[in-house]
Amino acid sequence: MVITKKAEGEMLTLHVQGRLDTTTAPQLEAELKASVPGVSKLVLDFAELEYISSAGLRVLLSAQKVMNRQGAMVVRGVNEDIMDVFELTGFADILTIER
Amino acid sequence: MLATPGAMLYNIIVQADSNDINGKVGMNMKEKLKSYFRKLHDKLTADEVFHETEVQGNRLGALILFSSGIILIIILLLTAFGVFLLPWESVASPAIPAVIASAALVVVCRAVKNDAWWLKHLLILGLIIVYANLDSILTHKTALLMIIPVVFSSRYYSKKLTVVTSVVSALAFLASAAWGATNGMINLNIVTFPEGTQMIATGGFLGDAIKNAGAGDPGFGQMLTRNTLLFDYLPRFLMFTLTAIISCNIAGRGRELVTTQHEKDIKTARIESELTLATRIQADMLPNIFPAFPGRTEFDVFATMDPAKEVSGDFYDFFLIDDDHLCLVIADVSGKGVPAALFMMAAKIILANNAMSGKRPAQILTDTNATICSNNREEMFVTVWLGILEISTGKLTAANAGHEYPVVRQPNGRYELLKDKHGFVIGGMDGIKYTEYELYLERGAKLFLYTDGVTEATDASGALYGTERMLAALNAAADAAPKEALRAVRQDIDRFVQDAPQFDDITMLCLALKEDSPAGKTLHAETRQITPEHVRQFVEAILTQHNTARSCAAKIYVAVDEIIANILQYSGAKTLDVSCLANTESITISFSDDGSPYNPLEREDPDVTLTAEERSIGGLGIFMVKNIMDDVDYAYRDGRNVLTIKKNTK
Repeated sequence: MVITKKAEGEMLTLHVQGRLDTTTAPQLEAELKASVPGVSKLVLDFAELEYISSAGLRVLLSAQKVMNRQGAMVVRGVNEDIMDVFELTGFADILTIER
Repeated sequence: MLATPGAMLYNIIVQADSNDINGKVGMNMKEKLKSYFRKLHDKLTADEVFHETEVQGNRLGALILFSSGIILIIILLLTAFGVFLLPWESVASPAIPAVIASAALVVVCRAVKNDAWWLKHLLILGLIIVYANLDSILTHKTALLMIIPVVFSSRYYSKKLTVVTSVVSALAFLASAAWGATNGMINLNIVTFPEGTQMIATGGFLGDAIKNAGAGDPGFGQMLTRNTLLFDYLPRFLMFTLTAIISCNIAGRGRELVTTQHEKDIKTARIESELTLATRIQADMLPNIFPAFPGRTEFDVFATMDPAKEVSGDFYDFFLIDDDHLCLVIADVSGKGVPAALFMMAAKIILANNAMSGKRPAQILTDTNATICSNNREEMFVTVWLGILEISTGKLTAANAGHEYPVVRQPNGRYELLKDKHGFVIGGMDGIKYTEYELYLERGAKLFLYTDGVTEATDASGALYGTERMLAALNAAADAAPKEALRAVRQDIDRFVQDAPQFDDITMLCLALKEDSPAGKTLHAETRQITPEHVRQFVEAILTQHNTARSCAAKIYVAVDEIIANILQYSGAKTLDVSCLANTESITISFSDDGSPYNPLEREDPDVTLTAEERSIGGLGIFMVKNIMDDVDYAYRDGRNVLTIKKNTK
């Protein structure tokens, strides 16, 4: 997994490329933990994310909880497979998804 | 068709006619000739059935003539050496021509190898002439010699021939009697002498006696002729007539018998050829081309059926229901022969139809029983063992309707009877419900199915082969492939029964799940050394090889990730095996760990409608697996959790 970070003031965009699973989720979790303080708008660009497993969902959930307190979080560019997972797990209702 | 001269001429005429398109007159002549030869040809070749009889008759004729010749030579020799008190001329004059004629006819018979349409007529005529000649000279010594041609003619089973022979013989007999009564030998027993008559020897012939007597008493010669006809020939002629009548009857009856037998032979031949055909049709009904699934490397199956009679009541069957399900059947119909074979065909088709419609084994047997019971007036039944193997996982679901126990050998184990629960035989009673059971065949496992023809094979002393010997034979060839395993059992049975006849059909089927199949791969690992990424890479290699669609692969990776993460985190397992099987239609992966027994499928699904604040992530993984896979299955066996997932790729 490759994470590309772009910060513009209080807005942070994380471009996540590859797979978000048990192996890579801790990496994203660490990145968020380090970068999120002070961010009021978090954009997760998943345009080049292949798939996401529950380990990834767990990271998204905790990020969403954090951002609920300090601003907003947007998930962008999800492919159909990931969207299926979001819908299946009810995450489609929790997350703000921009396609 | 016989190559009689008539037939040949007929053919020549036909040919000439087809080449000749000239003149109406010529046509008429040829038409007539053609029709004449056709009639002649038909007459001579109509009795094709009797051809062999005729050749045999001719051979007998030659033998009679040969024997007559030998007897006559002996008589001639005995006469020449004075043993027979007969004048040499009286014997030699009829006997020598008879010997020559007999020899000539025997030579003719040899020349045409007893096979000529005219030979029988020639033989009969020859016999009549030879015997009439002997009869006319040896007036009272020849007994019923004249009847021999008549009795002989009856050997040709033609009443007509015997009647004609009788008439010709009778005429020849009368002629010889007419000649013999005046010129043959004297039979002094039939002469009435005045008291005190003195005999003066003058020679043995009637003619001489009549001449001599006539010199003194003309009435004496007439008396001798009359008495010879009356006492020597008339009783013989009466006996001749009776024997001729009997011979005609025998010939007629013989003909009937030969004709009837011939018709029966034709019928028998037809039944035999139909039976041969039935055997072939039945054999073709069963899958009998091996390897049966050349494209499938995950398993190997082999089966044989040796009927005790031409057709069998046993059958085996195996076929793919879909890409991942192999149906195996072994069955034994009550009774033997054609009725059992017919019933077997019906049972086989009904079972296969039910299986192909996707039913489970118990349901297949239940429905098959219902269909067969609905119309089974002959009260036949069939014992059936039917199993459906899920090739990717080795899961075998089976039901048994009164059939022998199957034999299972897990890898590196021994062949053992699987004492499954028996239902009632199919066709035995309406409304029976069958139950099924499951077992897992591991990679490298073998399944052996058989009929009672195997266990109940008997040796000359009546001892049964039995399951113990069968298991021993299988275990002696434990590592053999199915084909060799069946051959080993068969050879062992043959050694046991030796020369005792085979009473029952011997049918066997053996399935082997292959240990290392190129299509399916297994990853063996210790949990402390493995990561979800390792497993993902192992699966990825197989999916890439099979060009699995990206979206489908993504779902599989998610599932693998969830399952491996669960096992590593919670199960406490030390070892983990992951088997991945890919084929054109689906990907099947099974995860086997030695952790504490835990069925993840029993876990309650999480509430996916809660808000972010209320949500916990627990249980979401397996929930996703259940939903994004097409089939998820859990079993705990041999101390291992086995979770199998399947994703259809089409």
